[in-house]
Amino acid sequence: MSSDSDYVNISNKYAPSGASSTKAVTAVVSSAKDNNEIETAMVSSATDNRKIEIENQKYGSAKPRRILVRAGIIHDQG
Amino acid sequence: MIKVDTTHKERIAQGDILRDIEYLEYVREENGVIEASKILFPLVIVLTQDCDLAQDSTFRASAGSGEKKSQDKYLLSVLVAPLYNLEHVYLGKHLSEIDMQMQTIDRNSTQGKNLTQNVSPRYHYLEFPPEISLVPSVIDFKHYFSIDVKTLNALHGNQFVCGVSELYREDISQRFSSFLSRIGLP
Repeated sequence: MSSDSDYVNISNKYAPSGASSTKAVTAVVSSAKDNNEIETAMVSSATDNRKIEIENQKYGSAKPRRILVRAGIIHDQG
Repeated sequence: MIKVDTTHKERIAQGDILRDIEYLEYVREENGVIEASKILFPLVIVLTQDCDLAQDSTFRASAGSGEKKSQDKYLLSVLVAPLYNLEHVYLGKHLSEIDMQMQTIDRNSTQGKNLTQNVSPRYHYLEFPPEISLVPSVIDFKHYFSIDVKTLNALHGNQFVCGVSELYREDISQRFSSFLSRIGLP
């Protein structure tokens, strides 16, 4: 998971049926900074063995932003 | 949920989703200083009709040979629309970086449900398959712009993300054209 993420998007992830309470499962998270990246994170099972209780975080992705470019003209005085 | 194709094609196709596309807002010159303002859109989708894009590509590839001596089928530009993050749209903050406050939409309201069920004519909701690393997104049919064909062709190789499959892209196209041609009655 990107350390500089503002938000992460954690989609529904369910632990394998019958997983013990200590078994780690893999959750797929998408980077907030980059729409196109998927990274993995290890998430420990919560109170319910069958389900990882992570409610919607704010879904993140980059927003449109403005870029200003300025350039001077060199006048030929010759 | 829509279907997408991640195979990169030789040419631009309708429904292609591209990342990091710039829209040129204006170019001004004052006292010898040129100022250009651009908006960088993280994701856009191609709306131009696919047959037009196919003919443009074919005629450019075989320019000057046989029956394709003219530039009759060349396009000047390609129409695209930005994709916005659904969660940002709910908050009305999807254009906050360019100083635009948009209406908020309560996800649990009728308006919010109409948005994700593609009932609201202005918006088109896209939910991608799990293997596609794109968050649930929204097209706002009030927002679209064109990009020069040559410029977009040059960007297509590196900035192609995926292509919305045929039936789904045609749904977008049909809803977009319907929204553009709407008639406001008194």
